[in-house]
Amino acid sequence: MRRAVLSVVMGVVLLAAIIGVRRATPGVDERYAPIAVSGALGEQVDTAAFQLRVDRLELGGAVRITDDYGLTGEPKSTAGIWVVVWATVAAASTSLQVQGARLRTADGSEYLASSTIGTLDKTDLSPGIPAYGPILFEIPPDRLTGAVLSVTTHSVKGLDLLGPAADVDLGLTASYATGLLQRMPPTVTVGPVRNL
Amino acid sequence: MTWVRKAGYGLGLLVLVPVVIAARVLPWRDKYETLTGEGGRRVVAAGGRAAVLDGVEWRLKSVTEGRLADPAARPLPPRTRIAIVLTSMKPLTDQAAKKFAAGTRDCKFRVVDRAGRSWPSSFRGDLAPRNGNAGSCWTMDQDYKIVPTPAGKELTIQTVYVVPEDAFASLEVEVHLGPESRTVRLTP
Repeated sequence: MRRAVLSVVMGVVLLAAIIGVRRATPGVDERYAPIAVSGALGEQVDTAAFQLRVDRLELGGAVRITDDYGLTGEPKSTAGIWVVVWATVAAASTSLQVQGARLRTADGSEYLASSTIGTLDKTDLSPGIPAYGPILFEIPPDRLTGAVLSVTTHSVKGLDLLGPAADVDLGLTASYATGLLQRMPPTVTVGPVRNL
Repeated sequence: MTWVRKAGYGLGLLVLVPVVIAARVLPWRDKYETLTGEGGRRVVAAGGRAAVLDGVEWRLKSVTEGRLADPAARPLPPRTRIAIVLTSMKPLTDQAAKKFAAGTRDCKFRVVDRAGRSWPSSFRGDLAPRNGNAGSCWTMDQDYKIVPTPAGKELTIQTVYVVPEDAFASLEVEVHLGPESRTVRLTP
């Protein structure tokens, strides 16, 4: 009898262990996620494929883009706000683009960079030739607090499996984000990408 | 079970396990080579000597510095130089010429420096005059049809790069030939 009880207890323990292991096992998304290096505003983040430093942040109700010839386009409006991330990027060993630039907000939503051409994420980057320029995002204003910049080399996530990534804390605390929103100009003009 | 039978099972396992692993891994290796262009067959020639791959002779003729001729041209990035690379290719036999013409029209050139950094050839047409050289591994006729290079004829290919100043002195040339992921590496 005692042996039978022990067997049942052992069985229950093993079953619980199996369930625990099954739940703790990372899923496909976690196992093959890009290998991210974390950093903060103003810090250089070194990944295997590129170096990134976020220099500053701007907000605007609309953006105007100035091209290589100094011509400024018409304002582009948005239903939310424009977040302009100014950053410096350099490729480490082979030419690439940082097309997978996303703003990950506190609720887990991800906003891919705007399709506007001429921005840093659409620029060919070569080793030893760093580039400085804007990356544009459109997000709802109430999601600014806690937003983190996530950068990979491809806009399609499936191409970045176990690839290099940079996660940059933009320092958007609730009070800082509120202040930025209060001081936000109706239009912000952004210049072209330039090589440094 | 006799020891002979046990040994038979053991030997069977010794054969079966590598066969199963090879059957699983080798198709992935092919896919990896196709996807990344890495891991395929590679020939290297140093000191200006010729490299021969599949009956085609490759030679690095020169790496020279270029200058922007047009003062109104888009300026170069700071601390960079223009590298003009002349590479030649010559099919050595008719068979090699036919195979090259049929399968390797997509050849990609890049330069690599001592540190392993690489740069693709530039699309900018204002960096250097063409001087009658081809821009890739083939030429076109007046109707924009590809003209294969016959056996024994040398085709000089000019590619142009914008590289950092510190990379210029140690540039080597790599020609990647698809779709079979073969690479020719030429050093001055």
